[in-house]
Amino acid sequence: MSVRKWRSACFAAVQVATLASAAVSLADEPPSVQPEQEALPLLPNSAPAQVPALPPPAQPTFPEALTTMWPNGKLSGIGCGEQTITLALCRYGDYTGTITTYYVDGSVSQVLSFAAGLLEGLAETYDSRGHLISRQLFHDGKLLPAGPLPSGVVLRADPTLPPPPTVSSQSAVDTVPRITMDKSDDDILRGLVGIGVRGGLGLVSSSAGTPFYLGGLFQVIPNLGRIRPEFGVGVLYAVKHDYQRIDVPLSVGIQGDLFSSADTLYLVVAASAVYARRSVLGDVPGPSSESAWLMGGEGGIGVRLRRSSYSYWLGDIRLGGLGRVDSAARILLPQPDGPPTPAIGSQFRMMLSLAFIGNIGS
Amino acid sequence: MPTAFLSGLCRISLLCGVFALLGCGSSGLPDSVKRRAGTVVVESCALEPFSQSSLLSDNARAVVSDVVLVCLYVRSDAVTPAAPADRASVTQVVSMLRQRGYRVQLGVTTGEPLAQTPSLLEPTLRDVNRRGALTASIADFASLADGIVIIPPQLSNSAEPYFRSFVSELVTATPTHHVSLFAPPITTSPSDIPGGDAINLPALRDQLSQVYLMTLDLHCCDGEPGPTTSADWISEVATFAKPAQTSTPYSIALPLYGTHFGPKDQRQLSYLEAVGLAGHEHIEILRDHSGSLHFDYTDETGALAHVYFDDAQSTLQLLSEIDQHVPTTVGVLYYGVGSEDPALWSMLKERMK
Repeated sequence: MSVRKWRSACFAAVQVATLASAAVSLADEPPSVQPEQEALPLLPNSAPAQVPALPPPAQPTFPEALTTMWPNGKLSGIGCGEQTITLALCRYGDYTGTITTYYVDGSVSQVLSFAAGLLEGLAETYDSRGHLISRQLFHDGKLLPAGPLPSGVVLRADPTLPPPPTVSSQSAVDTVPRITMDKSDDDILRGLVGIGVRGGLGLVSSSAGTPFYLGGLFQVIPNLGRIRPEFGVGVLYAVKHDYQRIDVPLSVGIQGDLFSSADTLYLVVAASAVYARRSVLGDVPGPSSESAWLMGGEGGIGVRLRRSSYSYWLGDIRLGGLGRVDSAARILLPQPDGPPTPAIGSQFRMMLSLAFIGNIGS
Repeated sequence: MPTAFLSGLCRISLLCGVFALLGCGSSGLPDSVKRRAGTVVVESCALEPFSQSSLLSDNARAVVSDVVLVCLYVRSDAVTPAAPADRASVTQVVSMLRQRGYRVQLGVTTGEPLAQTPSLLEPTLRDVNRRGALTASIADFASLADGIVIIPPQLSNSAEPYFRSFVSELVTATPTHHVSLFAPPITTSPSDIPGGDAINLPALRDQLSQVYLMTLDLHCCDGEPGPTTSADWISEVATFAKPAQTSTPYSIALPLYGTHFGPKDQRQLSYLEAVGLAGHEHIEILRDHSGSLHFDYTDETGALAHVYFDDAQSTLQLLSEIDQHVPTTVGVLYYGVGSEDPALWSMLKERMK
C-alpha cells in the first residue's frame, strides 16, 4: 500500500466514525422536519467504505391519535386520549399535510398542520360562527411558546382557508358558510352617496275623495350600509275629474336592509312635510286656489336590485298619512251625500314607487 | 354608470311629464252664441241700484231692448203700483228707461205664491163686471208705458174661457199698446203644470204682442234641489209651444237669480249673495257639466242647505245649447236684472253675434 492510499483509507475511517457518532446522537432526539441535510460529499477516488450497517434510529413512542367523525362523514376532531391533539402529544400516523375538522353544522372547527404524523406549524381554531379564536404554533407536536420562533423552525405559509363545506344531500347538517370572506365584486355597491329619482303612482284618500296620486321625487341616499338615511324632495300630483292638487313633499327617512346583500328587501320609514296647493276647477267664483301645509309619515317595504357597482333600482310600496297643520281657513267641498268636507284635510295615501339611484364618490 | 343613470332619469322624467299633462283641460266656454231679442224683468216699480247700474250700462243696452217692470198688483178688481211707488214714480222710471232706448212694459200680477189656489183673481175673471173694472184699471196704467204684460197666477182649468175673455177685452181696451203674456212652461197636453190648461196659448197668441215662456224655477216644486233651468227643458217647452208656426214673437226665460233651498223653504238670491255666502262659509262653489253653479253648506241650525245659481259662463253655455234646438226668432227674457253676475252683459255683448 502506498502512502497516498493509506492516508485516504485513514480519512475515510474517520468520516465513518463521525457519521456513526452523529447517528447515535440523533437517535436520542425526536425526529425533525428540517429540510433534508445535504448528502455528504463523496470522497474522491475512494472506494465504498466497508463499515457495518447502522441500526435504524430509535423512534420516540407517541400514542396514536384517534379521529372522530360526524354522522355525515365529516371529521369532528382528532383526539389524544381524553384531550384534543393540540393539548396532548400524539402521533397521527405519519400524515403530512393539513387536516380540517368541522362542527356538527358543517362549519370549520380546526385547521391542523402535520408533518410526519406530528403537529407542525400552525393550528387554527374557529368558533361555530367562523371567528378565529386561537392560532397556535407547533413543532414536533409540541406547542411553542409565543415569541420569536426558534431557529431552525421553518413556517409554512398559512394554508388557504378551506372552501365552504358542502354536505351531501343525505346529510342532516346545514350547509351554512361560517367563515367570513370578502364579498365578490358582483355583490358590492360602491360610492359614497346615491342620487336619483323616484317616480310614484298611488291613491290619496280623504273625506273629499280619492284622487290618483303620482309624481316624482329627487332622492339622496348616502351609501352607509344596511341602515341608511334617505332624503327626498319632489312634486306629486293628486288628480281626479273634479280635484287637482300639487304637493311638494320634503321627506326624511331611514331604509333598513333585511339581508346583507346588494340585492335585498328593505324596510323604510319616513317623515314628511308637504306644501299642498290645490286648484279650484271650473272657473268658478271665489278663490281659485288653496294652499296648505301637511305633516305626516309613511312606512313601507321594498326591494333593491343592484344594476352595477354604482347604481341600483328601488321598488317599494309605502303607506302613510298626513294631517293639515296650518291655520288657514279650510275650504269645504260640497259632497253628493252629506255635509261639505275640507278639500285639503287629513288623508291616507298609498304609493307604489320605483327609483333609480346612482352612487357617486369612491 | 353615468349613461345608465341619465337614461333612467330621463325615462322617469318623461313619465312624470305625461302624467302632469293629463290634468290639463279647457273651460269649454263657447266663442259665440246666436243673437236673440232680449227683454229683462225688474220685479219692482223702481230700480234699485244694481238694477239701475245694469240697465244703464252700454253692455246691457246692446243685448236688451225691452224692460218689464213687474209693478202693477191686482187689488180689489183694480191694479195699483207696488208700494211705495205711485203713478208719478212709475212714470219717472219709465221715462228714464225710455231715454236709454228701452221699450218699457208694465207687468200685472196678483203677487200670489204659486201654491195658492184658487187664486184671488179667479172670481174677478168669472164676473164680467169685475173683470171689466180690472181691465179698465190696467188700461189706465198702460198709457204710462209701451205695453202691458199679464202675469197670471195659478188658475183652475175651468177658468180658461174667462181668462181668454180677459185677454181679449184687455187687448181691445188698449189698442195702441202691446199686451203680452208670461205663459206657463207647458210641455204636454193636457198640461203637466197645475192649472196650465187655463192658459190656452193657441187661442190667445194671435191677440198677444209677445209670449214669454216662463222656463224658470225648474226645481221649485219637486222637493229636490237643482238648477233654476236647463237647456233641455227650455228646448222642450219652446218646441211644444211651436213658436215657428205663428207670427207672434216668443221668448224663453233665463234666470239671473239663484235659488237657496233651505231645510224648510226656498228663496231667490242674487249672484253676489250666493258668492258671498259661499265665501263666508268657506265653501267651494262647484260647476256642473251644464255650467250651472251650486254649493251646499251647513246652516246655523245644523241643517244642510243647497244653493244653485248662474253666472255669465253658465248663462252663455246655456244659450249655446239652446241655439242647437230653438230658432233665433225666439227671444230671451232675462229674469231678475240686478241679481246677475256683473260680467254677464259684457260677455253677452261680446259673444252674441
